[in-house]
Amino acid sequence: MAVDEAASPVDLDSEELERLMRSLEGARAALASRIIGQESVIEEVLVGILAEGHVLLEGPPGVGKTLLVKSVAEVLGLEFSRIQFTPDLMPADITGSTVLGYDEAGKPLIRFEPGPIFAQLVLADEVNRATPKTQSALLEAMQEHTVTVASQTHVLPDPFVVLATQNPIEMEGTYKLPEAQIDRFLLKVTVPFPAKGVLDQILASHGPRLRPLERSLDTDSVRKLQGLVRTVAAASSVRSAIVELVYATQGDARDAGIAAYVHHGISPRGAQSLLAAAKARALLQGRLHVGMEDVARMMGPALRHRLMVNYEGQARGLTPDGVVEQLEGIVAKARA
Amino acid sequence: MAQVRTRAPVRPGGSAVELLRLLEASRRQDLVNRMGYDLLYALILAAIAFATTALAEWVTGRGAAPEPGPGPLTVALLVLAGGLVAASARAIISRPPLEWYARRIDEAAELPLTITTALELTTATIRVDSALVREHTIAAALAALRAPSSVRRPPPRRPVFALLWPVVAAVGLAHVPAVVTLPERPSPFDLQAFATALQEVAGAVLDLAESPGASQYLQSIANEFQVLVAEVNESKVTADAATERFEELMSHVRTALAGDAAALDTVLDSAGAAQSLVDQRAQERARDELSGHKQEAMAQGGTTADSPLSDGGSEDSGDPQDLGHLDVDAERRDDGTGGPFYAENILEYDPNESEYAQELPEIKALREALEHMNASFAMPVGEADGEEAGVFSNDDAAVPDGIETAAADEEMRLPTDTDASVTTRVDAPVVEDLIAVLDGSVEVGAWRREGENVVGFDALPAGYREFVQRYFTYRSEGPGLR
Repeated sequence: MAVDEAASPVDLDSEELERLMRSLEGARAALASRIIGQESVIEEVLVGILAEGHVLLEGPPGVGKTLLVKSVAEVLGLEFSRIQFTPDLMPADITGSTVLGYDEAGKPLIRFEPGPIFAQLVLADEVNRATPKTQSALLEAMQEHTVTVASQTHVLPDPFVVLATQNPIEMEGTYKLPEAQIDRFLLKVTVPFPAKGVLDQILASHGPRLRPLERSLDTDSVRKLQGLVRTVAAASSVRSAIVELVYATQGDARDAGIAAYVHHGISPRGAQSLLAAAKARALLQGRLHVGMEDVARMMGPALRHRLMVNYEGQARGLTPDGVVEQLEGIVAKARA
Repeated sequence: MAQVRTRAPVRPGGSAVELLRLLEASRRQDLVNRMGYDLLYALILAAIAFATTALAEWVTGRGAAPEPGPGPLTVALLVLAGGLVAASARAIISRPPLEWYARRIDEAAELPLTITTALELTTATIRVDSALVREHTIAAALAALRAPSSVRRPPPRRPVFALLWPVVAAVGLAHVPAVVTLPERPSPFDLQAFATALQEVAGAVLDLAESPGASQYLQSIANEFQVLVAEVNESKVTADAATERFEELMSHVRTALAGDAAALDTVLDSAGAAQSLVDQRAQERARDELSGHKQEAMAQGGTTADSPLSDGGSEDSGDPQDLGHLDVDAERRDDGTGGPFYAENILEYDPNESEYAQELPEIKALREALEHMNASFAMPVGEADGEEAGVFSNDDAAVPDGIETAAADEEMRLPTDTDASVTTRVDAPVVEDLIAVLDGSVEVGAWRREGENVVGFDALPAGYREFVQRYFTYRSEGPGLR
């Protein structure tokens, strides 16, 4: 489905802003009522969507990753598509292909049959089970929001969001996502195993069938919110803090204590992603300006998949999340 | 891609002005707070300085004699002045921009950079296309600023540094002599100074007692003085007891002098009598010179006036620049025996003659020593009034007026900085010069008692150093007055 690039500008006033905010809060509450005990995951997923990014959900099987994505599509009123990645999945199975058909006059023609990627919200379930060739088919779609088949470029719908899941436990029969593709994801959300109390609530609320969620937003509202996120104001101190974060992970970092364990630091795109995520998070909090706490909150999801720990760091048991924890000191310093 | 276009145009509105006004008010309030904190700190420090200084003085006053220094009140006032200077300097120099206040208020109110962002939007530090975002953020900032004053008032920045400011400023002030000159105040418990002065007085009394015609009573007093000197030197007596005994002995001295020689009373009561005589004779000498050498030579017995030795005196007498020798020779010319200032004639004096008794160097030495003693110990504790006091204050009084007059006539040159800094030893002038010029001063007596031609400058009491520097040349410049 092609998207009209020349879409009419969205008018927005304070009343409408209030309405959108209430709707957004309703969507979050609805998701929280279904995905119990994963409020932070819900927030991060919504942030990814509002920031026009793609989200990689990582967690053990059975913690509600797929359910979350389906619920998000349901609540936001977005066109949903699910792709179950398997080793024999081919790129054309995702992007679509040209087929021989007939027009209304019965005249034969070759037409493009869109694949499941042509949706507003795409669930790439167990994305690391597909071969790298198939995984790379997502690259252009995720980055350019277009698909090129048979020398013809097709524009993906707007909004276009890929929510991919992967299982970090099973390594047999999986293909690790290349760094270039991982970098396309705005956020990498870790879905934790629920706590005992949360698990008890899940068991108590489990019924024979899931109740349908009320749609809180629609495509137009999501577009407006995405456009609003871009205009969220970020003070110069916020930008300075992000710059410090990026340079702290580079080779010539002043804080060599962190950079010494980082093989590949945060890229400029990573910095942009962090700021965009912070803006979206600020909007989720009902603000039109970014606070340092938004940066601190989104550091983990926005940076953990962009950091590569070197051998020395691995030998010390350091993980990307550990590096992010150390980077939080810079943000705390900037907040003080 | 959808665009967000807001209906409200981007323009500076009243809310932005209100934001700046509130932030400026916050800055003023903060400056007042900080100055208040600074002054409070300075007040506390001044109180502490006063207490510690007073305590230190009380403790050390019972034992070894401390160096004369500023009193507790002076120290406290100095710290307080430092605090005032520090507060003013911080208010003038350290005037943070509005952005700093915005950040501080955000932190104090736990706001997510609301006021900071609003200020940047107002001042166009950052730009957004959406007027809605701008106005919404500014509205949120205004709401926070209109909150209770505790939110709008940022806490003092780095109170530790604010605490140090007055101290630093006070120390800085104390080290700028051109700005602040600390009045040195002699301590009444300074046994060292007391012993030095007592030694001088005892020496003068002893000289007086050993002079011909002195009574046994005076000699016994002199012995008592020696005993007191020994006890003070050995710290066998307290300052109070030593002072009391000193006063008692001095009363005995006055009684003995009144009983022994009535002329002595005249000397003690009319301190300027001897000086008047010196001045009178100097004037006579000047008139003699003006009247012409020939006439003077005829009066002296036919010697030509052109001869520099025509008056029978030394060559120095012919040098009008050397007033010390001038006085001596004038005395010798007038009465043919030399004057009472001349050392060779001291032993020939009849103590019963009032004129001679008035000019006895021992008597003048005693008088000068008493004046010096009174000057050193006259000021009570804590009454430093800002004027120079103590051993330095009466140096001029310790100098015979005749010397000042003579020195002024000779275009006295004050010592330069080079003179004072380079010279660490002062070579005594020729003994005759000292005797002739400073016959009545206790300083000369002290020098003579040293029995040396060279007296170490450091060995001299502080008051004498200035005296010597003012009126004597160094060896390289030759002996004599400046």
